[in-house]
Amino acid sequence: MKYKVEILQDTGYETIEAEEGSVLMDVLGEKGYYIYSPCGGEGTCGKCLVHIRGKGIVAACRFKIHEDITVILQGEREMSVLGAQHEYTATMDFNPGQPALLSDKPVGCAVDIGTTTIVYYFIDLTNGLLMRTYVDINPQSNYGADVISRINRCVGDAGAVKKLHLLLVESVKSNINRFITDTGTEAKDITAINVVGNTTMLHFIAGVDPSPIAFSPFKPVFTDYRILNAREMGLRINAEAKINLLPSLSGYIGSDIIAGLASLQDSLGGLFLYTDIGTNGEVVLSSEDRIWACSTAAGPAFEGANISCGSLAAGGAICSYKDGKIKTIANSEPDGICGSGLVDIIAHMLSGKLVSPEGKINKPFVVYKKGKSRTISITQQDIREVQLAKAAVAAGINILLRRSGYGYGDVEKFIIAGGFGNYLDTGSAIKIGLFPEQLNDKLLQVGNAAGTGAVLSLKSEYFIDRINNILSRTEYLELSSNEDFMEKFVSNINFKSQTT
Amino acid sequence: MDEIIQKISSCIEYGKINRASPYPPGMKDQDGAYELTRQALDRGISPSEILESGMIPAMEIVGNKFSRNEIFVPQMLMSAKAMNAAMEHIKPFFISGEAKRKGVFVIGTVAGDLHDIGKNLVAMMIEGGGWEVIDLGVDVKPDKFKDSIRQYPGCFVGLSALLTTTMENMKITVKELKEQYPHIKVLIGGAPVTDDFRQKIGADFYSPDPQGAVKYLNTNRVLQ
Ligand code: B1M
Repeated sequence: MKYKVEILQDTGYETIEAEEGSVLMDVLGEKGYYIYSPCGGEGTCGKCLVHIRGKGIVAACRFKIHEDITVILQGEREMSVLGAQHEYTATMDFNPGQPALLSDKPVGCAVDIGTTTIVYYFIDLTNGLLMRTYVDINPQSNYGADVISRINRCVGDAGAVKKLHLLLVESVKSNINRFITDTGTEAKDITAINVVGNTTMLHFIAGVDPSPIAFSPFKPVFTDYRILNAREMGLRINAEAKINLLPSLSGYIGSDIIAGLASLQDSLGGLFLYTDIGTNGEVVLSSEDRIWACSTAAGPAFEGANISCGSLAAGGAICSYKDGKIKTIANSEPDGICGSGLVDIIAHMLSGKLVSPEGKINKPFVVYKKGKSRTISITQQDIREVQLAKAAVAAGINILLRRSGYGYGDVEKFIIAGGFGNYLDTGSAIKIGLFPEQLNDKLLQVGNAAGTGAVLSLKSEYFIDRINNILSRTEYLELSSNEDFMEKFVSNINFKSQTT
Repeated sequence: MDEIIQKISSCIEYGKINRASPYPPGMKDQDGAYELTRQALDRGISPSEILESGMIPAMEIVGNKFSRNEIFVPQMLMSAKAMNAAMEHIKPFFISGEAKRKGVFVIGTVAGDLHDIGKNLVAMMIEGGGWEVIDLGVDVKPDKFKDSIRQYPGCFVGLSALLTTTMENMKITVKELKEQYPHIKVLIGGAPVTDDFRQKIGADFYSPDPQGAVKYLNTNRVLQ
């Protein structure tokens, strides 16, 4: 019995055949695909990670083929975002505290629970080194793409809260098991799990009904540091291990944002803006003493939702578009358009006057023709969705600046965190007015700062002091009752240059 | 038609509020809807003629362009602002009875929901369609709608919701209103709302955009 293995890689794609039960790494190796595996296929180093569509990330040396599969060979860029160490990462002495004393080979797990993906970092608590990074699709996705839809399932249904809670626990369990299998670590050596996430995800992992977050006045049940018992949650790791939920600020500024801010070096000093654009589009303005934060509800357009040919940032997604040249993730045939591609394409259309400054197009813009049957294109409605999303972010920036009394000239850095922000071409982002032109030379893409924050919290027990310091200085601006919002939002909907 | 009425109409269509307004660039340093309406009244043109031959048709053009996705939120808002400027001169005549409105439309964003941009656009377009609009704002509980229904007998009611979670409150509101006032007509809209949902909750009309709501009101007002 032979199966088809479709291989997508940065440099091209091809389909090969494989015998039933053959090991993926061997099959790839025979065809000349070099998979980095320092342990020689022993299943201990975890470096030979590949992405199998529909199955997630697997170790190629352990994976046996029993069906047709599509393999996405991880480009270096994916892993670099998740690794997220950069010159602006805070330097902290290695000081893991209590968890390091619970075993002689202690390992800590840092988790960043996003609405769409969950990232796991396993840290050797004897030396602070990163042992493994795993990415999982948030298994709650079947319950709706955004937090509101998921919360909606829980209104008056305690069973749903429990179900969504268990789905997250399952993901934690299976990734811990994966780590144990990959590295031969013993369960008892996993001595701490530190979690960051948006406030809704933190409620779900704690098993707490997040419903109040969805209704005015959006008050979460908790924002403080929470310690959960790993055993009670059904995780068979070290008996004394704790699950630490890092603190949040409000219903729509979670510990992911706060930990991300805390992960930045103090020397950043001065006045800086920080944004993590997912579905919510949080924006923070930080001065030496005070910090202001808001959530702009940009919507999921940059995650490909509500866009006619939109897609998540996965293999086959158009992620870059320059002068008519298309680049897709894993270099496979274009399948859809993800956020960074969308921004590039619209910037291109603006340059070529294919779309008016008001967002009007005369006919859909064809990006790619897929055989005879399908075209990937940008429609009028797609443009409208992007206009709303980028206007929401731009309005948030305007309002924070106005509130603080600062102007663009005072801003020293503009930190762009998160996956979308990392792949985004900043020139295109400025062209479409997602980011203000005035901050052009101040943009800095830092990857998954939230994850970096979670990792730092394992490496140093004093990291929490940085978090508390940030929390004590931050004022949350609720845009729902902000009188300037409508004006700022509407004045940023057109593609003209920004106004303060 | 009088040339000045034609001019008022294009000021509204293109969003020229007054002389001082820099928008749209092509109409810079010209009189806007505000000045022209004053001039028209001073010339003895009746307020209802200005309303019916100038303002309402212009707003209809704007509403239709928006429905066809040819213009978007900012342009519609500028038009609505120009219409408001003209309306300032017309309003006193509603009180004196020299000009008449088509009826009363009560609108609000449902309980728990604070999104009001879409609702505001709908309110402006309906006012521009010649209706008196009572805007109850955001986070409006069913009782507040009921108070208005008692205060304005024969009014139509419009509900807006932007969140999946507050669609439930829309359903509750419709149910409560219909129970107590079976003859009241309720219109609903907002990004997550659909016609299927309207059927399910027993509302009378769903429109994806402001102009659809204007049309519904205009065709159904005699029936009330
Ligand atoms: C009566 O008859 C009718 C007939 C037609 C009717 C009608 C009634 N009502 C509307 N229509 C129709 O006519 C209008 C013109 O065509 C249309 O109205 P719309 O309102 O649809 O369209 C407007 C003209 C323009 N559209 C909008 O104004 C909404 C745009 C987006 C970006 C948006 C905004 C601006 C805001 N938001 Co909010 N916001 C989002 C939106 C995401 C997006 N990209 O679309 C959305 C709607 N928000 C969302 C969320 C979650 C939230 N928001 C919140 C807050 C805010 C802001 C304060 C930041 C701001 C609102 C400011 C204000 N004063 O309204 C929070 C809750 C506030 C609350 N309880 O209401 C918060 C809960 C969370 C947060 N991050 O802060 C999401 C809802 C998700 C869901 N599944 O329900 C959302 C889709 C973004 C997202 N994150 O995914 C039609 O629907």
